[in-house]
Amino acid sequence: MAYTIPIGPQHPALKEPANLAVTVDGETVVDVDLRLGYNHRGMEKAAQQRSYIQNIYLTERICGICSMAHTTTFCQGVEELLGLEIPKRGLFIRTLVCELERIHSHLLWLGVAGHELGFDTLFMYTWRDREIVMDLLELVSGNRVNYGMNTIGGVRRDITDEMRTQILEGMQPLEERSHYYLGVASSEATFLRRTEGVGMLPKEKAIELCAVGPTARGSGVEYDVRRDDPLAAYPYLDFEVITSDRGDVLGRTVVRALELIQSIKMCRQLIEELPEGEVRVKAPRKVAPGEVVSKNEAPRGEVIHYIRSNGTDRPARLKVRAPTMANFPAVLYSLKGGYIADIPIVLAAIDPCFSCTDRVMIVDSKHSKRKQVMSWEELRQYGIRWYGEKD
Amino acid sequence: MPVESEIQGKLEEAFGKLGFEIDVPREHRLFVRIPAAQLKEVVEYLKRSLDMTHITTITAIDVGDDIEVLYHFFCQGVAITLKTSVPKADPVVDTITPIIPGAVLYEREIQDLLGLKVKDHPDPRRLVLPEDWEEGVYPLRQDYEIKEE
Amino acid sequence: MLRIGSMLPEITKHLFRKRATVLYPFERLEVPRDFRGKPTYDPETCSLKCKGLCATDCPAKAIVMEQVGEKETRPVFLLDRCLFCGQCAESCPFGAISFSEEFELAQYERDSLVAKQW
Repeated sequence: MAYTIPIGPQHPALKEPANLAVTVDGETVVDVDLRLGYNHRGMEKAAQQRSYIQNIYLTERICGICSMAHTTTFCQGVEELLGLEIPKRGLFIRTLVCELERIHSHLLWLGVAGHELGFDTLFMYTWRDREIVMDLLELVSGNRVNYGMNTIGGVRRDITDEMRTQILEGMQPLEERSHYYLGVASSEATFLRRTEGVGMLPKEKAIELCAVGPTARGSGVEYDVRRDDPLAAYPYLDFEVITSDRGDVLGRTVVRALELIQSIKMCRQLIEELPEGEVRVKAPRKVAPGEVVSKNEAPRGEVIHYIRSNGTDRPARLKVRAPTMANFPAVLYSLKGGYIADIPIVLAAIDPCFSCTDRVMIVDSKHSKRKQVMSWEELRQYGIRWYGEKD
Repeated sequence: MPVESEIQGKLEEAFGKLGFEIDVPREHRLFVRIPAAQLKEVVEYLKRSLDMTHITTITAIDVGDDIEVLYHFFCQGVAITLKTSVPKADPVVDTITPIIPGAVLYEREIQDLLGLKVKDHPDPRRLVLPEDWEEGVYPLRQDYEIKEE
Repeated sequence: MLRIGSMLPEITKHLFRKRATVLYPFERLEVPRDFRGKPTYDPETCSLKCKGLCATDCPAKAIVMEQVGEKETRPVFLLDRCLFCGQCAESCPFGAISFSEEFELAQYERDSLVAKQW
């Protein structure tokens, strides 16, 4: 007999509230419904009542981890509307902070994945190594999150030669640690048992449901905005687009770990080839009427901002689509046919950022004779216990 | 010949007699204005002949008497945007989920926030707003004002 | 090669190393140069007549202009709304606002967070 379990909205594991109504038959998940909306803040409406300069800080706070990706997309959209050309040094510094942010986000994800599986040691060690990146970001921008580096016309702060040496010194231990974590992920037996074959998403389904980011690249879809629609300093860098043919959670883990190593390589290249010159140009306050589509690759996938201007200093419409929303249909598909114990790790494998998604989640439970309410923490403990007792 | 001009040529050949306006502002971008009745046909053509499989998002803008709906696709390295317009008095568009299943959440969002009606949508529930929100009040329309406290 | 406990060598090494946690508030970390702490205002440099360029650009409406003369206004900073973004310092054409390194600004009442620095 199938009955439905509502899970959420308050759960300590994920950073944001989410609500799932999971219909199960014994231990197997038959159907999932994900309802959104708890974090809806009305940012698109708020953006219409603020000037472009104030909107830079508003878009920065759409997400705490992808904050540089959102500001970069917004600023380069407005710069395209104004027809400005940003000096090369400014573009390099912008790309450097974007890549440092990608390193910090992927290390954070490795820790969260370890925590969801009950592997708290991995969580502690990756977050300790993440402190190296956070200190570098504080050195460059003045803040650990929500950096405030971008402005319309370039970046606000410059990098001194002393900072360059410190960044290069910081890359050295990060590279060693990333190789070490890649080794742990591919050889630790407990990790592999929980992630191999779990949350399968075949390539055709990933293309059909329009997944983006490491979720799609872990299923063999080669789509990366940094290569296909380049922006900022990416045309001057040489890097590889990492894909994996596995299609399960282990594939997505390996993609993120290898992307860490690519990002470290890119940061080194950016510091060594940093050109001289100005970092910003002066920008007018009023923008002539027009429209622009601006895209970027955040740590979680493709971000798009659509801006329409009407001649004043406020945008007529700002539309933001963050990557987690594009991955929802894919994660709902990959949960079906799995066990209840796999729900935490499969949901965490798309690296959800619900405050990026701007959606509200309300879960309705279908009426049935038996109803069981589980909080996320209970579900996580359930998963760890179930696999521990399996043999 | 660059990809954008190739795509422009093919679209003009297939739909030129209907008077589409095509605009190529820079590389990797293409904007096409089409009448709302032709929407499904053009999306079908993009998928079949131009190998398009990825929809990025759907935007809807309130411009006074009409609501403009923009569909952003990604195809062969170019971000193609289809622009259509429906009158505010009768804001109905066709669903494209039979052709592109990934568009289901974006259509639910424009239904919720701007009051567009998407014909034959497989799952027309609210996405963003809470369940007890008033019917007929659409936050992203121009006439909805945020009151300062 | 599949092993159980592949992180054990690493963990044992750390038994003999220094602790990674910094015991705040007994130990403190240095803040870097150009850290954006509390905004400070120089009343001598302010032009008084610019009609509040700093307040126009503040994204959080954390600066309110107070009338001090017939056409002169001075800014008052509401630190409970401030984002510490630094846009006011950039927008001021006279350089009257700068950022200090003070970041321990917690108070018990909201009224104590109104900074009138003149």
